[in-house]
This record gives sequence, C-alpha cells and structure tokens, in this order.
Amino acid sequence: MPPIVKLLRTVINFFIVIFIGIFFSSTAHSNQEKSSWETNHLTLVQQHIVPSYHALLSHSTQLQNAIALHCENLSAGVHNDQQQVQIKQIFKNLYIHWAKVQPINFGPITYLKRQVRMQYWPDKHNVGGKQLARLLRNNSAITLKNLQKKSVAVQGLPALEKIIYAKDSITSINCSLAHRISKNIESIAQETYDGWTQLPALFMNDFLPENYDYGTYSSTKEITAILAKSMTHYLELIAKEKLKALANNNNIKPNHRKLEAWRSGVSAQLIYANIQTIEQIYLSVFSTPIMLKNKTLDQKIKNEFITLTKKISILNTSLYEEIQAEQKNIMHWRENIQHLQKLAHQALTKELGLTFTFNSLDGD
Amino acid sequence: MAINVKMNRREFLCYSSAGIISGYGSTLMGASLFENNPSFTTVSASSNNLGEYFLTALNDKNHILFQHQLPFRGHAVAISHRHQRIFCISRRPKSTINIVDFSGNLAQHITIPPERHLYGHAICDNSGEYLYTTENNIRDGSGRISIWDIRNQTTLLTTLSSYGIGPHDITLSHDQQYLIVANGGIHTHPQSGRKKLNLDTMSPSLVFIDRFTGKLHKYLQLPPHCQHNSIRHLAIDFQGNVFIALQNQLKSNPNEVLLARYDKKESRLIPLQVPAHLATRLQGYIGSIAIDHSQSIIGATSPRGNCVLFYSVSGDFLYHLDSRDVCGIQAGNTAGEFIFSNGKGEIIHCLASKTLSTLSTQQCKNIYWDNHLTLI
Repeated sequence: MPPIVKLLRTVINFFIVIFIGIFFSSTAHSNQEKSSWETNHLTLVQQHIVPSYHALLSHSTQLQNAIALHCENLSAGVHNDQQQVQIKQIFKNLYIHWAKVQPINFGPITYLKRQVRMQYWPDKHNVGGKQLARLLRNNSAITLKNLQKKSVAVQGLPALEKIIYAKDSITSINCSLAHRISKNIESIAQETYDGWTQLPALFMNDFLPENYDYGTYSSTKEITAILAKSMTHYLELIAKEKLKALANNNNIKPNHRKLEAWRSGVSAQLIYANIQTIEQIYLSVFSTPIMLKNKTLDQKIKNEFITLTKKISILNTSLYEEIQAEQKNIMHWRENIQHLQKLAHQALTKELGLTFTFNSLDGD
Repeated sequence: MAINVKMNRREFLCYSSAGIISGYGSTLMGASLFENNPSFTTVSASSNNLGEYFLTALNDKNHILFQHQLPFRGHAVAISHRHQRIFCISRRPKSTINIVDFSGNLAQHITIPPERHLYGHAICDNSGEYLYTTENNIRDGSGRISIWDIRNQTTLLTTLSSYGIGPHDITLSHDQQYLIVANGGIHTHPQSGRKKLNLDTMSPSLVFIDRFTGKLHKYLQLPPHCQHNSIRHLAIDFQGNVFIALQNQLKSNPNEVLLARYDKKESRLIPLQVPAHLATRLQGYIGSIAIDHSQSIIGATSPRGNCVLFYSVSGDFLYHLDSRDVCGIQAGNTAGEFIFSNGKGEIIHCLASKTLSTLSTQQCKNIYWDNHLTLI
C-alpha cells in the first residue's frame, strides 16, 4: 500500500474515531441532562408540592374543627372571645398555606373548579359580598352539598374571611354558614391532596417518565415548561393584580381594598408565601441548569429572591396600613418583582432555550 | 367582559411586519391577490402574559377588534352569521360556553348539565338555527352530541350518541344532513384531568350521524396498527371527502400516519404519507387542518414540529412552511389562500399554489393564539 494511501486511511480513521466519540458523548450528555431535569421535577413534587398540599389540608381541618367547636358553644349560649381570636389566627395560617400553593397552577387544583372555589379573587363586582348577604338573609341551614351548588364566590376563603372579620365576627346567626364554608374548604383541600397522591388521578406519578404515554404530560420538556410558566406567570400576577392597590399614577390614591386579604391583614404574608414557593421552584428545578450556563445570572436571581423576601418579611404592620401611609419602600415592591421576573424570563428563555408557547406543549 | 379597543390604544395595537416572500413565489402575484381580497377577520381563543384567557378578534389591518375576557381557556369557536353570534367553547374538561356578539359583548353564558363536559368544538348549521357541541358523558365516558336551539336564547334541545368515546371536532356535510364527528377514542374523567384512561383499548372513529334522526350513517376506522392514532380534527371538501388530522398517543409505538382522507367513492379511510424528512419532527401530532377555497390544497399544522404541511387533495405532499408553535389554520377566500396562527402571537397569511408564498405576517403584542382559528 503506498504511503500516501496509508496516511489517508489513518487520517480518515482518526476522524471517524473523533466523530463517534463526539456523537456518543453528546448523546450521553443529553441523556444526563434529561435525567437531571426529571430528578429536579420529582424533587420539587415530593419535597415541596405534596407536603404543601398536605399542610393546607391539615390547616383547613384545624379551622373546620375550631369553627365547629365555636358553633357548639354558641348554640349552648357560651360566647368565648378567646375562641374568636383563635379562629382568626388559624384562618390567617390557612390563608398563608393556601398562598404557598397558589403559584402551582397545574394538577388537581385546576380540576372541577377547585382553584376558583377555594378563592374567588379578584372579585371586581363584589359578587362574593352580594351572594353572601343573600345566603345570610335566607338563613336556613345550608348543607355542604347545597353550598357546593352555590356561586363559587361564597364557597371559599374570601367568603369565610368576610364572616370572620365582620364587625360581630362569627355569631349564632352566621355560624352554621361559616362552618359549611370551612368544611367546603377542607373538602377542596382533601380532594386536591388526594388528587396528587391517590388514584384515580395520582397526579404525582404523571411526573415519572414511564407514565408520559398514559399521564397528563408527554415529555420532560413539557413539565419543565409548565413549571417555568407557573413561575413567571405568578410573578406577573403578583405585580399586576396583588399589588394593584399600589397605584402607579400619582393622581390616583392607592386603593387598599384591592388587596387580596385586606380584612384579615395578611396580604403581605400571602405575597411572601407566594415568593417563597416561586423561589423553591427556581431552586429545585432551574437554578443548577442556569448556574451551569451563566453563574452570574443565577446568583443575581437568587440575590433578588433574598432581597425581596427580606423586604417583605420585615414589614411590621399590615400591607393595608402601609399602603394607607404610602410607605415608600412598599411602593418599590412591584419594581423588585418585575425585575425578578425579567431576570427569570431571561434565564429561562435565553440560557435554557425554553419557550412559553402552549400549542406545542398542551394542545388538544 | 369585552374590551372594545380604540385604534390608538398602544396596549392593544399590533405592529405588523412586511410579508416575506419565500421560495419561488412572486411578490407581485401575492400582493395583487391580497389587494383584490383585502379583508378578513380572525377570531380565536388567546392568552396573555398573565395567563388570562380571551376570545380575540383581529382584522387584517392588525387591529384588535375586541378582546373578550373568558372565565375559562377557550378552544374553538362556532359562528352563526345569521344571528351574529360567536360561540366560544371551553377546552376539555370544562363545561361552559360564552356566546358573544360580533362586537365582543357577552350575549349569554351557558353551563352544560353537570353530568357532561365539553370537548372544545362545536358547529352551527347553515340556517343558523342549531348548534352542535361534542361532549363527554362523565358517568360512563360515552361521547354525546348536544343540539342547541340558538334562534333566540340558546337552549338545549336534546343530545345524541356520538357512537364513540371522546368526540372532538365536529362538522356538517355540505347537504347539512349529516354530522361528521371525530371520535378521538380517549376516555378522560374530570376527576383525573386530562389523564388518558383507556390507551390500551382506545378505538378512534370517524362517524356520520343523521342530525335529524340521530342514527348512525357511517362508521369508519383506521387500520388496526393505527389504533393509538386519535382522530381529532376535520376538514371537508365539496365532494364530501373528509380529511382528518391525527394525534399519536403512544411514543413507544410511533407510526407515521398523521393525516388521512375519507374517500367518498371508495368509502374508506386512506392514510396520507408524511415525508420521511419530516416524520420525526412532527412528534406524532397534527393540531389542526383546513382545505382551501378551490378545494385542491390541504393545510395541516404541526405545533410540535413547528411547521405547516401542505398536501394536494389527492394526497400528495407538496411542501411545508416553518412556523414556531403554529396551530390554528383556516382557508382564506381565494384559491390556495390560508391564514394560520401561532403561540408567538403571529397571524400568517400565505398563498399555496405551485409554490408557497407568505403574503403577510402580523405580530401581536402580549397575545398568544390558542389552538384554533376561525374567520368571520
């Protein structure tokens, strides 16, 4: 064999070996990447989402029991102010635990109108107030089944908040309705938790790749995009809806009644809980892949979460009062959230190449 | 709630970009056709950055005519020109229909009986008197077709069997005698959301139902190896041939049959070949299908493949056009004219003849078009 041919063969063989090496290493890398996404999804579900729904259920049971006891006492002619205070505290805790799952805009909470039955908000036309007044006027003992057929605006947390934080709070007149609403809240929480963990939905298992054919999602990519969307959508919702009370225009006075929970005074805590969950989604699923691509951006996002949660947590009074006093630091929350959303969006789209389109992911 | 938008409101104005003429198409040819046929208005379900849902109408001058906020995610619409009503059907497994006028004002809000849910599609008959919706009977999972009287207030008249599970798209034969229904074959239950409960036994079908008697006229199925190809969307030509778009449910058992033609003369379903170079790209999923005004070209969207496929009615693949997250498609008013929408907020107007030309691309800010598009 002439030396030139020999040389050529050697060169060709060399390139073939290099090509095969690159091919297998890139396939291995892509498989590794895929499996790390799958692990991240499962971590989020098992360590955060399911426990959060469990906590929601426990707190709703606690509230239901407390109201039931209070009603028993009232019907026996015993009025216990301490019990009212306790109910208010349990209610606040429950609302905060609801806020922890609010950004999870997928899964069993979205079935059978559960989300809107749990919390009809914003209620621009005061449907809840009007419907509640009507129910109280007809004060016949309403069953849980009947309540579930009424307007969604009287079935959940805002309706119960109206009763608990009314001037006379829970009285013998509205006690039965308050209890039914608390029972309904408990039942929604139970159904949702069961939906994640029990058959027939067993939604938790839809995150396992072996169920992609049979489950709700058909790919790892689809789940990643749903989580990304939940994160960025909810940041936008906080900025645009939950902080609507912070009027942009100087000529318009802030309207504190636009706050999510102005009666119970936990609006800031709700936002805090929302941000914590969004941060958890970020840390569990997206932080590591982004860090591998752009360490600075990942750090920036983490810092932004820290700054924001710190700002919210040091609030001594309620957001309602702060807005009335037009506190400047509160007025900047929206900017902080929008900045965080911008960074997250940049990280997800530019660094990870995710798209926020939906036809390709959840068509029908 | 409808937001009637003034043309100078920045928030709702769209900006347009000039059409790019692709392939061998002639700019002049495209432009002259567009000038001769300048007006179309599209209506489609949409979403925004907040994740809110709307029914949005857009004209070809890039102006949003209305945005009607929906309390649910819309899927497809049915139109009654006679009563100037748009029926926006909620996506499965929801149960509400918002009926709006051509200005986007809510005329009526309907919730179907609790024992059923909608599948997102409906059709009005040509007389504009009746509306037909595809539904699931939750208790036993059987498919139902509800018939609504829409002459005044929309009221439920009766329901018929769809002769299958999971009826999705629905249309009427040109003589208005038969309802043509795509029974997707997939059993779902509201308790478990969109989880597929019967993949092992699913049995999709295309059926013709006499709309006056409810009797089954024709029942057609794909070959057994296509059992997992759910029949979802339809387009019908004047001869009565029906083109069907499929969605393959089993990734572990993929096949390349994603489109088929019901040949009226042969009275059978004939699969259309997906070209080899596109087969993997489509990921077993066609989102929507339409036939052009001249009844010679079929357009089918593949949101997962980010492209639109074009076929001749005889089943020959012609060409494809790239468009990210594309799904909605409708025929325009002239031969070869198609309008399609995507999740990026674009409405693309193209001309498919011997070659393919893009006539215009309208880009909307903060609007993401959902699955289906209709012209009014």
